[in-house]
Amino acid sequence: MNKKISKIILAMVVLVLALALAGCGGKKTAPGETEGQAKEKPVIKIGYLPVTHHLPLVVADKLNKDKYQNFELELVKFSSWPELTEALNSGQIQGAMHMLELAMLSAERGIPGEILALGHRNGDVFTVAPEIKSIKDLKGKRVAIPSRMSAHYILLNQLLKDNGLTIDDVQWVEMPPPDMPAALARGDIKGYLVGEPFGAKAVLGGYGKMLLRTQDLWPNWVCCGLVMNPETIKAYPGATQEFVDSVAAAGNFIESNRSEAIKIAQDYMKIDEKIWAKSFEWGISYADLKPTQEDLQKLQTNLAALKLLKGTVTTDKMLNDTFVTKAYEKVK
Amino acid sequence: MKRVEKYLLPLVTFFILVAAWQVTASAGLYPSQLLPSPLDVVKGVAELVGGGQLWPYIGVSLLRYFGGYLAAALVAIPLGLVFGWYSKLWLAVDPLMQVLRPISPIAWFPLISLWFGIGDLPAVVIIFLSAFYPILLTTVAAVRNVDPVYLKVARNFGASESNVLWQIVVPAAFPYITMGMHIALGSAWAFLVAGEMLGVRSGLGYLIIDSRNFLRTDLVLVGILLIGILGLIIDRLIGRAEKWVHKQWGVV
Repeated sequence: MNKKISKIILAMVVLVLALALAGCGGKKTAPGETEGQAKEKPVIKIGYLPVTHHLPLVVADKLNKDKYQNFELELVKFSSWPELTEALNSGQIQGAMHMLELAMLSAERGIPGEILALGHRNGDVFTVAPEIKSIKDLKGKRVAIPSRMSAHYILLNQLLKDNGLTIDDVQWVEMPPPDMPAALARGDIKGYLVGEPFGAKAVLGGYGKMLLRTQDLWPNWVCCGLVMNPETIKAYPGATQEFVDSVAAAGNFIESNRSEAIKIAQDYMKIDEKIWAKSFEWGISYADLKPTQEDLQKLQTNLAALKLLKGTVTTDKMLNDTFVTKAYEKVK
Repeated sequence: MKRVEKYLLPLVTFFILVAAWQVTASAGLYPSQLLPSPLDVVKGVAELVGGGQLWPYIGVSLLRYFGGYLAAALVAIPLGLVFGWYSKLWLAVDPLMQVLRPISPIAWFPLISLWFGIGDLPAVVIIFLSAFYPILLTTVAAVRNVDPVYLKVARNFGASESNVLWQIVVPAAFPYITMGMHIALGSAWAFLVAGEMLGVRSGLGYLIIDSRNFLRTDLVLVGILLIGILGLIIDRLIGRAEKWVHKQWGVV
């Protein structure tokens, strides 16, 4: 009997070791390892979500498809921030249109990323049920935000404070943004503060109204930006420059050809053209995609004040505006 | 098998697994933020206990779970008895049940939040859905598989339809129904995480989702382990109840 047990134990040990080895062997090689060895262009994978903030990325892809000299761009669509964050942090993708707050959190947790450009400025709105006339009417009501780790949560805190309330005066809930318009229509929530196009959807649907815009509270508001893995930037500076050039150019293209940009977006995001047009009325801007120290510090200070970040990340380490500065020099 | 082995062997498996985990974590293949070591997870437990969230989270999850599970049993068992007893009725609804059964409760999210809003109720409904079909189907099968000889004998003695149902069919089927309830227990518990995704701010499922949003993989693992361990405890308790039922009804 004892022999039998030791045999079983031995078999288990072998099995576990085999599994562990198989796990190690499966590790992917980083794209940096092939640089210079072959003439083949590296593939750079960039993640995004189907939201208006990420429009410059998909427009850049459409306008430059197969025309990039130094690399091949592969866009990867995600359906939620955690998925995108995990893919970026584990090196499955080399960069992403990322929520800057999450990029800061990753950096604070020891996984750095460099912020190369913004996705947009301004343009998100606080959508409320028609009977809500002012922020004060939201007292005791349920209000949705995408996550506490977001600039939208900062703004909600600030709005309530400006109106003599605190965050505890509303029942805030965290919800996936695509569920918010329906929750408002049913009356489960009385308002939500989130990225676009989810506000435009409720307004066009007739069950929501725009209470205020983010830039009314926070001029030149920022939320999403192009974040890349520092190793990739280091390994492929030429490709990175070319990529950032195309994103900045795409921003300018959108500014002067909005309806064309909306058409391009149809290939990448299932957002109705009418919703795009409505959302564009609220002042989202793709003209100045250069992030500044002030932009990032304001975010970090606010998140630290809400105890969501320790506030220990030096934003100047994360900000890398050399590529975007050069990009704008070329077009201007 | 010896009593010692019953406890020793699982412990050996557990230690080997934890050791392999520790080795993989400390080999430095992945950043510790993405793959925390067992020690990090223990620290995470301490952090949650210290923050006072853990016990309320466990309590509220168990409440939602048993709410959904018991509701499913209360609806599915009578329904299963009726469907099993009236063959023609089952003929009519069987295809519908087979169409609905393989659909993950998660796929129903938009409709569940349409009908049940957000908060506790949709969580209970998700758990209800995942427990409902296993219980219903085993109940139907149990009733249909009652030995026809019992029924013939009962009828020969002049038992009425309702007598046959209550005094022959239900007792004969009951041990198998408890088996279905046992299976449902696991599948319902597995959907706790999904159930707590719709706008709640408490519970073990929420702990996992919230920790994921904050890149706290260590706390995600705490949630996973707690759900697993509680699942084991629930399973063993029901297993005992099932054994007791089988003894009472004379099935081995």
